[in-house]
Amino acid sequence: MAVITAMLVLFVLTMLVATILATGTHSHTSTVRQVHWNQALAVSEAGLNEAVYQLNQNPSWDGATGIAVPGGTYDVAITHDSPHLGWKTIVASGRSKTAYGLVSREIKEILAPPSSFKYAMFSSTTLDIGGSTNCGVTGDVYSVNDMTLANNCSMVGSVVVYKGNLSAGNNVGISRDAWAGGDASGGGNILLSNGAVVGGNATAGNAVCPPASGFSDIIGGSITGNASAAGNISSLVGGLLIKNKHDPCPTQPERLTLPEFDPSVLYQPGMGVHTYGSPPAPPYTGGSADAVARFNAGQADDYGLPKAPATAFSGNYAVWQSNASQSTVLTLPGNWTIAGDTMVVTNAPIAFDGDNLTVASTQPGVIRPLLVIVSLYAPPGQEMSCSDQGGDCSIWGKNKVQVTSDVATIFYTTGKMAFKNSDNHGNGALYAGNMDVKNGFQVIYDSRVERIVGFGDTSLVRYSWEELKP
Amino acid sequence: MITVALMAVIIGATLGVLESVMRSSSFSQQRGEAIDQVRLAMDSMTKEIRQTAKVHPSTASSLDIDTYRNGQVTRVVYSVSGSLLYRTAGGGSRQIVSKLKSPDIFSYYYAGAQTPQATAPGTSPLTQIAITFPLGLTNPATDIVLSSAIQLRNSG
Repeated sequence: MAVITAMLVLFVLTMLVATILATGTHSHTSTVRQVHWNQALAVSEAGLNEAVYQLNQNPSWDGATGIAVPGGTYDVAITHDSPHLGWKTIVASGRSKTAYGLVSREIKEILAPPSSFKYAMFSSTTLDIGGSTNCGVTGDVYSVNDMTLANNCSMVGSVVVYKGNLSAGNNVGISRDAWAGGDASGGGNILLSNGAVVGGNATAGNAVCPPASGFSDIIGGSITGNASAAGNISSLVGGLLIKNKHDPCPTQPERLTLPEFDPSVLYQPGMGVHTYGSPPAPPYTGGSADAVARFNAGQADDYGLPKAPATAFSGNYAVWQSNASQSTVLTLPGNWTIAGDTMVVTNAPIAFDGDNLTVASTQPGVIRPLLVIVSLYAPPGQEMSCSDQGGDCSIWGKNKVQVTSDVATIFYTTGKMAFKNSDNHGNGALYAGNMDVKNGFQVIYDSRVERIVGFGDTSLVRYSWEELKP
Repeated sequence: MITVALMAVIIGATLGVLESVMRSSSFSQQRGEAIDQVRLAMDSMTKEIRQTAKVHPSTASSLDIDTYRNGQVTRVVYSVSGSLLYRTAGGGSRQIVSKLKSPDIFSYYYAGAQTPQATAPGTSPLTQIAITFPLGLTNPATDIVLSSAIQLRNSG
């Protein structure tokens, strides 16, 4: 009996000790692994930070392996121009050694140009969209001064005028907010014709409050959301109606400027730019007398490199023309197929004045290239004798310009952009110092154009951070 | 007679110890399982939250984010129902934590602010999301709290 009792007691004590030991061991293992798990991430991030530092010193830096830091070692690798031209992808893997094995973690950071293009259409002066059957924009639209929208325009997004009037024709639909600003000299009115509807809120603000004159009004049409004005409101308002508001006045929108383009980025390592009219040098206003003519004729660039054929166009092109004018217009081919990301930059005017322009991907649904068209042309004397009928335009489309949805496109000029014909369409954005679109341009904003190398601040910013494994 | 009485006392004491050991072992196992479950959930949540690309309207009991998964942006929702925490993504939903004593497990820190808010997004950039798991164990009734604050890498 005593032996049985002793064995029973022994069994119980063994169970107790075993349980305590198992719990303790498990807890210790988990804790150690957790510590090293966190350490491996810190080591990986050390690699990432080192890469960002090195890239700031030397944009061509490719990475390093087996770098020891407190807590472990890391490898870091850079892929240049990935996933897009001028972008960089950094992959850092950190390792921390434990008594139970090696803990490894891998992270990826993508560095991109800063966000520069957030609007579907942007004008740093006035913006005039005509055409009652082809006037449709999907995305937000901004102009510094007066904006005019033709009858039946369908604006799927918001509409903002920094200092001027927003005039919307009959049956114009603005799906989100409308905001216009004015000052003591006037402006800031939202003028809605018969049947025009603002789907969100409408705000007519004044920079000077109360203004001595030039109260900003909201006149006509209807507003689904709230309406707020420093002056009168005669629209049909579905939400709150606040008129003659002076305590304080509704504010005017923020003043935005056209993102600046830095041509020197074209000459950074890896850009492989085809130059016509060397030597390129700031401020990129000069060049050679035959640069545009040679580009238009499809000749090789200054270094003898052939221009890509229009059936499979791609690459970066800089065309620097001396004494640029309307007699040195860079003409883009009537029908293009784009095989990869393409950028054409010139200080001369650009015209789509031959055949109708059609741009498509060489492999629709497979390759979705980015097309960037930049004209830095400023008319002599800075006068803009450019209208939707032509003149001294920086970018001019006489016939229709049609870019398929497989190509993300941005047309950019510091001067004036004008289009005459109807049936223009494209995915991307239009940015100009001044814009006049006679017969509409159906623009569907594509976020693919939001960050483009060379625009805005030249230093890259973090676009995404992601842990890859485990 | 005396021997029998002594044996009864010894066996009684032994069984008492045995019962206590069994109870302690059961609690220890329950506690270990709960901590393991929460650690696992905390690890996977931390990873997804750390690389958040966008925060949709969220509260103290529900976090709705776009996060990266194999390079693709994926929408993930964490929501508390009763004492259970669910993860919903890609049309499927599964329970990842149980025995929560409170549904308010998320708090949000914004740039320049010291105190957390109960909702997101706000007007300032979101910099951190904190998770607190208050767990209620039974036999004996015991509370365990695990918490973590996650610095967002893609904020701003």
